[in-house]
Amino acid sequence: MLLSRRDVLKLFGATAATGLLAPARVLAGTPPKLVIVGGGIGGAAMAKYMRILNADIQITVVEPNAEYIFCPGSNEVLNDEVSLNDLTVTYDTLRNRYGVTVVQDKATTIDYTRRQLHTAGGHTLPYDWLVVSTGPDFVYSAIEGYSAQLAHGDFPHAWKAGPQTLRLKQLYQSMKPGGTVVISSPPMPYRCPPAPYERASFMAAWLKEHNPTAKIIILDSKPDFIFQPHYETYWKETFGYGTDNAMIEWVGSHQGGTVQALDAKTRTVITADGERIQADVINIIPPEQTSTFARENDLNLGKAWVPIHPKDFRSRKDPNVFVIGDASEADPMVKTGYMASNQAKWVAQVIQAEIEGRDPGSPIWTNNCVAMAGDDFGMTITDTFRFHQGRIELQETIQAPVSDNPHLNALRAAVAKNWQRTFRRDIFE
Amino acid sequence: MRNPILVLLLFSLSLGAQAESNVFIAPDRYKNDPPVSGQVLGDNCSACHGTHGAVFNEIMPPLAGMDRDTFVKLMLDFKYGVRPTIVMNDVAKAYTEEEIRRMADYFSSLPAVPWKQQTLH
Repeated sequence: MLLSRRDVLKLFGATAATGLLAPARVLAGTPPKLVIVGGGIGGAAMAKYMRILNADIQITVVEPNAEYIFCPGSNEVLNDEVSLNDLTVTYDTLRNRYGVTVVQDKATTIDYTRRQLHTAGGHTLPYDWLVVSTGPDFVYSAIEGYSAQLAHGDFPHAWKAGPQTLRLKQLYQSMKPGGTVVISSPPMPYRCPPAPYERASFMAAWLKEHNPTAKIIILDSKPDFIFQPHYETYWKETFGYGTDNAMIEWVGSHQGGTVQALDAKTRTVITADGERIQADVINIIPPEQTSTFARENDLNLGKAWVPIHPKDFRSRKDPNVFVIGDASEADPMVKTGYMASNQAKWVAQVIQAEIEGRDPGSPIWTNNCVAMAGDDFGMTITDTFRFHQGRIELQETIQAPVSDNPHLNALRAAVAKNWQRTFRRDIFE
Repeated sequence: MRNPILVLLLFSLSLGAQAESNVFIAPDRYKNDPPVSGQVLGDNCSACHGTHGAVFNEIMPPLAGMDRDTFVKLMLDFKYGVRPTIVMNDVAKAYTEEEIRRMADYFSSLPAVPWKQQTLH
């Protein structure tokens, strides 16, 4: 006798069906089904760590791309320290070692009642649990005159590692002598807060050697930024920051740095103060919101990000749909791949505990992240989050202090580079 | 220096210029919450130390199969600043001593074999 969830629902009603979920599976003799939307860091970690906990569960990942390119490390592509190839992984290990079905397709619609995910390619995937890990989407309309089309052309944001990263590299490396790069840094929250400053630093390192009179202007929609004392220290030492000959200039929102519009024809950005700044290369990193998939399925309940239950990352929309990573509103957590991977590992524990009919205990999430200003100058941050009294609490955030010890700074950079490799392996090996 | 208040005070004094952006709450605040399992604690180590603490490389040491007492001593030395490191002092101070022992139980129970060579299930 094969009793599907729908049959149980028909026979006993919704309340009974929820209560009888586990017995229904025993009756049916089929393993439970986990479907994951998105094969990035969060989605891949979800699939792998779920399999580690459970040999039988059916795991399906829906991901439109055949390969994944890691964003961590992609700023180093801009000055040739790393290639995109180094950052690219396939789904072979997930398929072959972890027995995950990877469907190369685009997820479109969640049927919450039937617990089915529909895809653009016509698949209908039934699930017991759906985990949505799509990452964010860009709000191009926040910058008048900017668009996805321009981003794919001569104005790449390069905020998702891939062809735009290479395009940005080509544009700034072929700039005329003494040319200007403008980077527009977005308001919080956005993916990987230190990355615009890391990007500027790596570009400057290349320009210093090949185009020493060039200039990078960071126009910021924030009044300050993470690791600011570290970056400013390094920029002073290396790029004349704060002098008339500075290769990097930073303009905070309090100084009129917020970019409001782009005039693509004249390669000019217009700031909140109405100032027009012409540049040879313009890299606008747009503000972000949750994904189109989340919005089209009303997971966000009208908000910019998807509200979740803070202990277990179940969406407020539907308790069998979890939302992890950058798409979720998990304040005070930051939007990083590190964070997404640790959310995924915890959600695997939550689902396994539900299967076994026990309590998963308390979570803890760390975000012990790294960034670099140069090949020999790294920095670290140590974040710990707890679930306490009904909410996610920031227990600790410590930026390792600025140091004038070159050995320590080089060691931090070595740790950062090492972390990128170990992290990729934790997600995909 | 096992007095948490003293540790917190000294910690605050040492912050200097970055004081406004740093936050630290002593882990004792969470001691009455349901416990965090050794595996959940350990999974937070794996982004650097590999899945199940079993990445074997030049900077982040493997934790899988580490002797229990060695693990506890190292982590307590990190936690209380006895042994300076790049990041581990700040990592370790977030955990209670009980949590450190739970992590030690977990990692010492795992095989000291690179993750890639382990078979699943």
